[in-house]
Amino acid sequence: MDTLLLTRLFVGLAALFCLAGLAWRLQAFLALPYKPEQAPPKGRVIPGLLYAFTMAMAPWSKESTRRHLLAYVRGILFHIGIFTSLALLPLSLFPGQLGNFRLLLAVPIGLGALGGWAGFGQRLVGERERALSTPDDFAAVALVSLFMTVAFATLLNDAWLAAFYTVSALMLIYLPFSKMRHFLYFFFSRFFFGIRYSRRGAIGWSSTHLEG
Amino acid sequence: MSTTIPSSDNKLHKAREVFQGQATRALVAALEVCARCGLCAETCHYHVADPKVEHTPAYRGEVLRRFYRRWHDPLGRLFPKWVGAAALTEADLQKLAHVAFETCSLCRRCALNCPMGIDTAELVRSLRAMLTATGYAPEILEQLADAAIQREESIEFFKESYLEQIGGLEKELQARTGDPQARISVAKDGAEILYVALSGAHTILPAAEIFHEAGANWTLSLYEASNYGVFLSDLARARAIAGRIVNEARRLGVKELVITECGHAYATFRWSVPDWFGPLPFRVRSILEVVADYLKEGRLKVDPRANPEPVTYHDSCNLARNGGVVEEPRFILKRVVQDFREMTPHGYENYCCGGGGGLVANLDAMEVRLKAGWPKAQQIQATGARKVAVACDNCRLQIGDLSEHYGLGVEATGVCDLVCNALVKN
Repeated sequence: MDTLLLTRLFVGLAALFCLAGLAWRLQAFLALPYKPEQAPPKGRVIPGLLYAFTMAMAPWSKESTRRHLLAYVRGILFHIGIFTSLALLPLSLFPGQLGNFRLLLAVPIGLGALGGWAGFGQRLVGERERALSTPDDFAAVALVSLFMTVAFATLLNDAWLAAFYTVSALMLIYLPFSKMRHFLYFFFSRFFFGIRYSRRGAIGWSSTHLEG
Repeated sequence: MSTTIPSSDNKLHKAREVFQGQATRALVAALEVCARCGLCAETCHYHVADPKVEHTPAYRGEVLRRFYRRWHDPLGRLFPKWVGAAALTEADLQKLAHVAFETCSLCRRCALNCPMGIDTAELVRSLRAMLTATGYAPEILEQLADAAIQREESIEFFKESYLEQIGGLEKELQARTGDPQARISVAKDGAEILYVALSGAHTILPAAEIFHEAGANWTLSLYEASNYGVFLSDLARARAIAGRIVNEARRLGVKELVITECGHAYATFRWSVPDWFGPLPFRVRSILEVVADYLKEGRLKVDPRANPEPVTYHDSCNLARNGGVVEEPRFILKRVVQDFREMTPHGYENYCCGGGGGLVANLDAMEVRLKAGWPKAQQIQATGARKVAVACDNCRLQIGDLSEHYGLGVEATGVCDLVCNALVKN
């Protein structure tokens, strides 16, 4: 069996393992109680929730991101790179048909990889970030950055395909156990944030103004 | 109602049991989603005042996450050091008491600034619940909570002396209003409003004067609004303390429960009490919301020239960020003071004064809270105001202490006091 086929099989099985692991995490999470607030809301809930998922994440909306615009941009590029690299996995099954699409994919993936390695460096040298981080935090960001780096290399030269599948598989196997799984909880976290503060009329489009 | 303290052997088991009881989707999402990006650091007044990693909201979350990972994460059990997991020990419980009760005022400024929306205050509350159940809560908070519960259990004993004190205040009200018929009724049947004050004339008289001028049909609660069970994250105590007032309001058949200028009491009754007792048959509002309505409706006539000094307003975290009451105090102040000045930032983005979460009552935490109040002191100083209007008694005490400690030369005053100064009496 040739190496490329073996690695494709490996990443396929890894993806199934990853999905099973995430499904296990999700079902454990959904088995927990959800206790919605009973108090009558003061603010407008649906507009507030929409705001929580959209403009609340704009860089000017929060003091933390206004202060750390570079980190914000780095984080955005990092995550766009991740999703683009994940999209490359199925697309890479048809390398001959990528054509000029390669450049379109290479830009976000390359920037994502740069963002990832920059973030790894920041976590290593920043006193506060280092103190807050566990070994898993370093491993997760390094593995994801490596994933994007190899994805970028693959777009330049198909000879990297086997390496791309191997790194992808390792990442997908590790994902349900590591900090990387935090994406699973992101939407729930934004929902709980949005519902709490929109009920109070404390964020964005949720507020109802007192006249005068 | 004291908590039965488990033996050493059982403390760790109890702590875990309490945590399990708190583990809702919201709490676990907050535990799982943290990227440890550190963006929360400068949003915390503790960190602004003293930039240590221990003063980062993410650190406070990690303190609980270590144990959560050990309890619930396969890698946390197999390779604890790799994921920062740790087994809970009794020595940990002692250290955690400082983190949970002294280095977090539950203000939630971090939650508004976290890219993930993590509610660090909920994580710290969970820690507080574990510590209270295992005997590591600050003694003074437990004493205050138990005293409130005891008062309800022995109400007939306290009632007579309380009514006597109120009689004295009634005379003062009559002098202030010039109306010998002015009354402060207590737990009167047929009242539309049940007003819940704190222990102290400063939370009774100004409101009484306002209600009198507005011609409101109101009565004073037998009980005080503050709830130290909430600071302890002890649901049983918190329910017992709040329940007295809910029962009183139900018994009297009032249409509205109005909470005095007290942040945590307002947030508790407005947002938590319905979760404990089901939907309430009466409305719950802050006195600020009521006064703003009275002004809008023309039921109060005011002259801002009565308050000529520059005044700024401190947004109490429990009223503003956690309560949703931001516009009402400003509506009031712009009408009752001549020179109103905003702090920067203000409203939902305000800095905590450092006195919340039970810190003001905890004498052991005085040095910590004065240091953590430095950003607020800076804000006040920058406005050039001579008075700081505050709608929370703990904030009022803290700002008074900050003024003395940092030489600000400002007076912390209630919003209702300023309203009363400005009243143009009928």
